[in-house]
Amino acid sequence: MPLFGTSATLKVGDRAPDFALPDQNGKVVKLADFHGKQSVILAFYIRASTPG
Amino acid sequence: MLGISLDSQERNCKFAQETSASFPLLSDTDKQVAKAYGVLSFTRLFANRVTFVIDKDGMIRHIDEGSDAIDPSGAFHACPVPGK
Repeated sequence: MPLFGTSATLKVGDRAPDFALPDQNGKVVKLADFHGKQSVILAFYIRASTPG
Repeated sequence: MLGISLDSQERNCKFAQETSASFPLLSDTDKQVAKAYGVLSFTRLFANRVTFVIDKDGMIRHIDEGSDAIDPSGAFHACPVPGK
């Protein structure tokens, strides 16, 4: 079963889209803040999209 | 390490307290970032977690989806300098 690579719009080697989002304390975090400084692990938790 | 959910900032704050999260938990309530990363299409088919490793130059180095992404240690192996 082709589990990988068919549904994603991004793949390894692509440039990560920049973003600016508020954290749990209201501080805005931008991906660009890490450029040239530190690598980032970005974990999506899509809990809100499932009712219940 | 950054976490992103579609929950409100308020709910993320509660979640962070409940789980003693030691990393920023970002709120993507309008789903713009989830769409930009193609995460919503992942979740229609698979589990509800996707992890990206992004290097210092802003390039994607590794993608974990589904059950693999639940344990971020898999992603750490692809990360030359784990977040401190």
